[in-house]
Amino acid sequence: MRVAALWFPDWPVQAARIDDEDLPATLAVARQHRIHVCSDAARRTGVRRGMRVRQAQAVCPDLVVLDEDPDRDGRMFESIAAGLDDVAASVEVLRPGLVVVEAGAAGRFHGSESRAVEMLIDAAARRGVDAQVGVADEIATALIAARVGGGQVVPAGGSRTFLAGQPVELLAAETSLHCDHALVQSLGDLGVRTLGELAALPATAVTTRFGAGGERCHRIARAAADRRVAPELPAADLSVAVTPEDPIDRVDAAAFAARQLAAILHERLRAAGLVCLRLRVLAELSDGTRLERVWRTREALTESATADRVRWQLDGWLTAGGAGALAALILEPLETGPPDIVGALWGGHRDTTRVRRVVGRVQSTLGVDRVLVPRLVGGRGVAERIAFVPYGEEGGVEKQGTWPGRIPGPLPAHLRHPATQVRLLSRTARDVTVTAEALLSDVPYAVGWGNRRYRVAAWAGPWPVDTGWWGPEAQKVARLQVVGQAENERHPRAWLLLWLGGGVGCWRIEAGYR
Amino acid sequence: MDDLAGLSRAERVDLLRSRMAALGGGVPQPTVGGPDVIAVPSDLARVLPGGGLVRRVVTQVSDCPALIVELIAQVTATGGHVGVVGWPELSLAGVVENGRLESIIVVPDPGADPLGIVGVLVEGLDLVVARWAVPLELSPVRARPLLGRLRGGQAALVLVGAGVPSPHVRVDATVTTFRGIGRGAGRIRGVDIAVRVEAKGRPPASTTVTVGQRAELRVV
Repeated sequence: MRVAALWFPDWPVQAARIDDEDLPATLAVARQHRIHVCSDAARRTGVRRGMRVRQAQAVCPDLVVLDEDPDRDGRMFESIAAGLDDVAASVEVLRPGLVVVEAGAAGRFHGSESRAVEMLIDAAARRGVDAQVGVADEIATALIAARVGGGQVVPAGGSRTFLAGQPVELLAAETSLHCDHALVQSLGDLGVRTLGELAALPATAVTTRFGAGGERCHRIARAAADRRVAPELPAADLSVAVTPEDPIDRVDAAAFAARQLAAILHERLRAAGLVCLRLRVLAELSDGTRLERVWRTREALTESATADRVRWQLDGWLTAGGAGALAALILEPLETGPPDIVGALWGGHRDTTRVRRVVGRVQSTLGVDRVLVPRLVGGRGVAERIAFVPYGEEGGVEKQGTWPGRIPGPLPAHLRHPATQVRLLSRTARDVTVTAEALLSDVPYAVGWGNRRYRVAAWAGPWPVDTGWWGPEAQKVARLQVVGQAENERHPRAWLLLWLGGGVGCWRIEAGYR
Repeated sequence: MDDLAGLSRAERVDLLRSRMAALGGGVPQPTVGGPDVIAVPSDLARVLPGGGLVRRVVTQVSDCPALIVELIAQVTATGGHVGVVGWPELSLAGVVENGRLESIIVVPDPGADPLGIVGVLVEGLDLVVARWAVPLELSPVRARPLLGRLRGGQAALVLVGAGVPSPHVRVDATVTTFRGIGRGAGRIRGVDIAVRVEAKGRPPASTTVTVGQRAELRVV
């Protein structure tokens, strides 16, 4: 595979100058009061990247400093990238100011590689725009070749020879190589000056010392086979929007508009042969506020189902105290897929239409937020393991993990015990507490609250948990399983007690084994 | 396909099904125990009429969350959908191990008309558990619309803390034994629930449902 990299040095400065041709030659773009990029003329007067803006202005009094504007960089680059599309089919923009092109295919099409590269440079040529080209077998090598000495063509199979003489600092100079600056600096401190010296080190030793970042640097240095050029594929924009002439101020009118919108959306999806699996409903108010919610659906939403969801969303917002008129309504399918016919053919697909229908009816009676689905979020206690999300709504990212030290099953099933505080007593009627070493201060003899008294028949623990101390949800607790026997009852009872440390120092019932 | 000619119809179906299974499709076996009963833990199935929770009728269960969680886990594991109405204190963490959380629908606060909500849910789910914190005895007039909707759907209805006139099954459950825990040693590894079932037209029966580790037989 041959890759050509086209690099536009100091692109933010070049973009600013394309945008406004009257800007002087000594120009710099600043990010957070430091020079982010400066023009060549400014560099000659002594301005450097990373300098403070004031310092740069002292060095070069004529310097014009602009604020960073990634939007402008991207916008100006768009026209250049579009021009490259005419020459080569496979063009990938790594960042504004840097593209990689699959040169092999373009070379075969245009006759030879050098001819294709020449055409690329011609296509990128604008008045006042500099570009350098580098050609090599891998993307990373091509990026380095474009930066070295005004651009170079590395012959096929010659990547390692070319890289051997290049300084290590080049890895940190290009952000698209994703090499950590500190890592590259410590390589230099260790006496590794060139990429050839880095490639000569054993790969395992580099990975052991520097981790994944080190492995990546080593792969670049030894010109290991990399990914291929991945051009951006055109994706159809299926979202539909309506902007009524008069802002909608009634929920039923909004639902009616949503019904029409849903019909258009489904016509579009049908034409594309897709069904919508996740839908975002976005309502924009006349004061600029945006209400949005993502709905997950397992089947194609019908018009009325879509209208219902819009109505529920707006209802929920109104009952929460919202006010204002609706200026625009947008339905955006976030995830689409081909209809799931195969599953139905083999009978592996359970029919959940009835479930959805009844849940929809309950939701329309009670409100969306009161029909919930449990989610496992993980945790060491019992209550904290389960979170609830409204039915049909996309939940947040699930916390995964093994949770070492969690309470093992069988789990207690009864939460929210009414007793706010319970007392655990020793034989001498002293309160049993949990010490700093996470041990019980005494042998528990009885447990009680209100007018309830139980003799402790067995206990296990305490199992301490000290977590969340880095954030606002600090949790320093200990859990204890206690089996108690009342005087006048036949069967024992068991609870999971929770010791609240951190100055409070009391027992509470987290859950009961009932 | 010509080798099918000499076989009986049942053998032919079996052969073709095994070929479909070999293709990767597989014929789904009915996952719930027949059309009228939902499968439950095997300990309990021995004493329940029909070997499970009967669909389209009311089963009255005493306030024993441990047993209810076991029932929910079993029903969701076989692909059923479960609704839990009016029971925010029920911890569903125990379902994770044996069942599927995503087939549970929870309505913690059913509002002013819990019976209406239950009546809607029984039309589409497989099991609905409804609980009243304050014991409630439904008069025949109040129960009739709910029972009518129940007969029209597919669900088994489990009422906790509420009674209907002459329920189909009445289940009394109490946690009796905690196993594996000592004085400052071990942990709770198994819980025994004593269950007594009274069904229409059957003598009362009792059994023990074990959650977690079972009692071990030891040579004395």
